[in-house]
Amino acid sequence: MDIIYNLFFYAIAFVLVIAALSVVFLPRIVYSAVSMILAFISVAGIFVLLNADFVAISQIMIYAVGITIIMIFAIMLTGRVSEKKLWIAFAPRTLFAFAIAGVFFVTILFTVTNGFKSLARESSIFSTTLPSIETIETLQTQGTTGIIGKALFTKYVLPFEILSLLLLAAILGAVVMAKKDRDNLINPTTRLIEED
Amino acid sequence: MHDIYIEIFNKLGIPTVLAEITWPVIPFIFVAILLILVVIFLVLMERKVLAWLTVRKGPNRVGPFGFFQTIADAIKLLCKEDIMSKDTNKILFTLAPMIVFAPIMIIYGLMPFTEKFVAINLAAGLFLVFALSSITTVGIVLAGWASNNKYSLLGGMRSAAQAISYEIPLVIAVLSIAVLAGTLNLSDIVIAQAGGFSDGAFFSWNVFSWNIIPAFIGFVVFFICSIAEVNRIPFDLPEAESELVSGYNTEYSGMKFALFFLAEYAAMFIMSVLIVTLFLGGYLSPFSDYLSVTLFQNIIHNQNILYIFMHIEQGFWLIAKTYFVIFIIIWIRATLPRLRADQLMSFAWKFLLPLSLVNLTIVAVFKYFSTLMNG
Repeated sequence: MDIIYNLFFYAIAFVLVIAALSVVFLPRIVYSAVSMILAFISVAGIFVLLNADFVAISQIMIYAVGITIIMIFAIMLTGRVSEKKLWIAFAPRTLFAFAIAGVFFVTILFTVTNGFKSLARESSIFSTTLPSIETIETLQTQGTTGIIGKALFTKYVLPFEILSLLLLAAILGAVVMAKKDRDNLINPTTRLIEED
Repeated sequence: MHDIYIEIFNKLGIPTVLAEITWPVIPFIFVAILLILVVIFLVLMERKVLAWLTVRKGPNRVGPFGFFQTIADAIKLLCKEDIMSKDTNKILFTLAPMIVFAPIMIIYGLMPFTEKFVAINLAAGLFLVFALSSITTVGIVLAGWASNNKYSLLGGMRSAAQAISYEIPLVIAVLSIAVLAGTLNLSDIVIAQAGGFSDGAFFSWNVFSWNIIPAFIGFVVFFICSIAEVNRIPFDLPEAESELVSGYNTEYSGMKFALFFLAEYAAMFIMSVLIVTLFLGGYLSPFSDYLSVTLFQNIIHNQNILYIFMHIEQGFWLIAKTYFVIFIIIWIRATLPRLRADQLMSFAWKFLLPLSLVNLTIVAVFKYFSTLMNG
């Protein structure tokens, strides 16, 4: 079973890396958007391998569909501007992007290779104990949805509610910003009064 | 289905490892055969019922009563030339029908057709169904964009706007089912609807514990939204032939068009199966026990044969209920005119969304009191 697991992991990881690279390097922005769908679905596959079914399906629903559809919408609405060449090597912005990506890469490499081992031991943020086999078996048969739901509505109910309030504020803000122009368009007299 | 497959291999004396390795192929074969059969029958049924409702004869030339009309159409589509106009985006144009078709094929594997006949029995199956069905929207949008045709683009945009708006009341209506059943596993949702309302000859019928009774408003909302999700009249704005030629699939021909066509009818069937599974008791018989069991238990004493009979009956009930739902959908198509785009949006956001929230509240209160009474 271990061999099959590894086989699937490396297959998905290979697809993920290829898809992520093509998001950056493909010449046209629509191709980037499509390969981003592939990248997100591969990430969902890795979540499945980690027995995190709820997170995997959320990944497909929110990232692979929700986010990318909005991106494709944006590409459509901007017309054929998207045909412009996106990737210019040695431009200042490219070098800047490389610098930021490099910093992130080093940080992740440091974490993955247990660079923070001593830190983890002191603060116990990164728990190093693996879950027991029984826990993994119940996860595989019952799924993680129930556990996540219970945790969200008991232990983490306050952060959850604060987050929902934040999202509500964002939605209301978007509505207000979208509505402002239309008021002026429909009722030009109010604008005249304001100008007086 | 997994258990049955492994059991067959064990009885034949073939090692279990071989069964486990070959297993993943089986659901796909099962799904592919089922899908083709269902769509061929569905297209014929739609044309026949529509003809009957509008006092016409319908297809009646190929085979007895026109039964082979769909097969003839399928062969015609297979033989057609695959035309691709000069300014299309070749890669995305080819990819789009596949993105539309593949997720629907996976959803078929998740459906509980009988107690044991579930290809992939997942703990979060219901959630995955909606995640996958939303992927098809991406395919339709891409098809519209890649065609490089203004009608296709408008069709794709309309489809995306419609799918995003109608998915919200749809999912909130489904949330009430998750509250009632306490699980997202589709098989468990069906099993949770068995048992009836109380003991006794009449009240122990399964009909009284179907989810449609506490969640009737949710059923109506789900029904309307699922028609909108599969782009059927009165919500067929993405392919409104009087305004947009044929919408997102205007430029398609041959097998690529056939894939869209297949996906559309397959999605219609799967949505009907989902309505039946969530609200109408799935494969459960409406009576307190399976008819075959009550009829034959005194004649046939072999438990295995009775069990097989029970399975066939479960399949019968599911198919019967599903085709009843499909009949209603076709009936609606023959009756109602198409909505306008602005009516479509305000209907979803100002009417269906509050209604689905009301339904969720009612169901939550119902669930609270029913658990209180049952201890």
